[in-house]
Amino acid sequence: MKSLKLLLMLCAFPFISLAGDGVCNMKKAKKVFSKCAACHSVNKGGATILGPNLFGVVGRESGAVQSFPYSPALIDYKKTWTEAELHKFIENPMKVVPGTMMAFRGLKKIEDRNAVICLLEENK
Amino acid sequence: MKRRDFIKNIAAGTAVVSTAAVSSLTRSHEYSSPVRKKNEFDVIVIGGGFAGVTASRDLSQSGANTLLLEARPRLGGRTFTTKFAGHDMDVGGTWFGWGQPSIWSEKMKYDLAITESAAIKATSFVWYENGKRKEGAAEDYWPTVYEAYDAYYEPAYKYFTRPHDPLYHNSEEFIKLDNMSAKEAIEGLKISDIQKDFVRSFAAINGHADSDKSSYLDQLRWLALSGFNKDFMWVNIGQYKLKNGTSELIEHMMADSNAEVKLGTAATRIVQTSSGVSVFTNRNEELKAKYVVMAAPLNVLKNIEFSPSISPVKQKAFKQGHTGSGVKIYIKIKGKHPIVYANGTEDMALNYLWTEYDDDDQILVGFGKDPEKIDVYDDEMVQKAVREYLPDAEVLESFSYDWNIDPYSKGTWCMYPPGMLTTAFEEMNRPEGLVHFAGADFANGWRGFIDGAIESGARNAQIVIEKLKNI
Repeated sequence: MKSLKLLLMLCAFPFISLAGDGVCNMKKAKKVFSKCAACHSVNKGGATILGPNLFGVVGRESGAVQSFPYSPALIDYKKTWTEAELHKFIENPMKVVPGTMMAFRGLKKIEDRNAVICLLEENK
Repeated sequence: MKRRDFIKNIAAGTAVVSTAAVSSLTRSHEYSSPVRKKNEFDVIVIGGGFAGVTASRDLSQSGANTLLLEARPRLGGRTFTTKFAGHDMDVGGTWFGWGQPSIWSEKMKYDLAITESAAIKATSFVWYENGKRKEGAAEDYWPTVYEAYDAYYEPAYKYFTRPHDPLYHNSEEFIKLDNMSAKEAIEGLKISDIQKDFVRSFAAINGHADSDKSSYLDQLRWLALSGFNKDFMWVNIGQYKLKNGTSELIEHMMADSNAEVKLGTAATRIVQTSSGVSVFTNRNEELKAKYVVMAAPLNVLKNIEFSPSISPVKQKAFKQGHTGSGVKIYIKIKGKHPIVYANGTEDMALNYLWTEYDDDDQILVGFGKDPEKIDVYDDEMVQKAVREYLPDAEVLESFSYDWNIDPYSKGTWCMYPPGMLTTAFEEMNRPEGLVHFAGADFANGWRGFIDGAIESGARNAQIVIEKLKNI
């Protein structure tokens, strides 16, 4: 019953991440983030592997990493990477920002996106 | 600037690397235009995969003022080395062999270390017979498979005696084989149904698509290119790889190059006039050159506008594209296991799966012909696909790069669809005025491989070098 409640809550408020509730499962987060880590570093001052470094991305303006050659589409996006924006983007980046160079179909499961955002929150 | 710093800058996504900075890395060259204007070059090479990197290196070494234009924030094209599970791992083009003359000579020249796929020492073989999983040793698997290969490759002995001259035996029968799909040809072979399953699966991995998508004739080249030896074919397509990944070779080639590099900049329109070529980019720039070497993948060329328009044959071929559209995935499973080589049927989520690294937690590499059959970002689907071969495996993590949706590749490796080799290949390689076409997808020999990219890039650079001498 408790888990059903949680599920309903997640469905109704998909942007309330588990991270905010202090239930951040780092093991799960690291596993899901392994799909991102081949292209994105997340440590402070980390190298550009393919996409921009993600240290401090939560709350950052889009297209803000100096010297990273963002696509014109992402330069024009001009949003703040709030948890809600990140949820939307990570679910289907190429649909949210048509013309992005990020070749990724997206994380379709909310718990996967929560895990990734949780890890991003930790790295700031 | 030290070579390492230069490489680091490229890795850090520095969008423009100045000619001056790069030329201090190597001896200075005489440029053909001593006083040059900004955004004006002798040659613009479009696409920084192995073909473009080779072409821009060779052109700039000859003294041509060269710009290498790359759409992504990195060089390497359909090769990309990254860290996964503690290894420098190639998520695109990976393996090569000493039967591939262009890449092997680069490996020798720069003295690069190689390593081997763990699967070369496989002790456990898994395959499917009539929908049932079978397991055995090499001698239970290979003889049946090799007998099927022999039937499949039989026309190669007649038609590809000069495999680097792919149209040498052009004839009515040759055209007939080109118009036939691999699947159609397999139907007619005198082998068992189980053997047909093996060859269909093999054709599907080679074309990285349904076996009915690729030309039977085009599929036959790899054996010929390997001296008509099946073991040696596997040596070339799946045994050796660069120890530090393909990016190490790109780094060496770039350190040897005087070309200016622009990352994150895609060509959108090519306009030729009597005074030269203008390349318009997605960053609203106009770049000018005497010649262009177009080294972008075949499957993205339809998105680039050419003025005047290119030949109808090229337009049709660019629209049609190559067949490569499947998945490649690295999967780490819990614990140490026997080294496995697994080969399923064509319609399975992964039709090949083998041990790539014999680590304490084993790392497998899998191939599937169809991204619709497996969501590589869904751990449960990946686990299910692995368990079709290894029922007890527990997937710890996995990684795949989706080359099919990457706007600058729109596919994986090149195999031609029926008819392309005999109706379009020659024309695809013919320059359009001042624009030359190069790339793995245009190669004479190992088309669809890193080797073919280097072959084609070097050849086109040489043609343009000769033309520049005569201006």
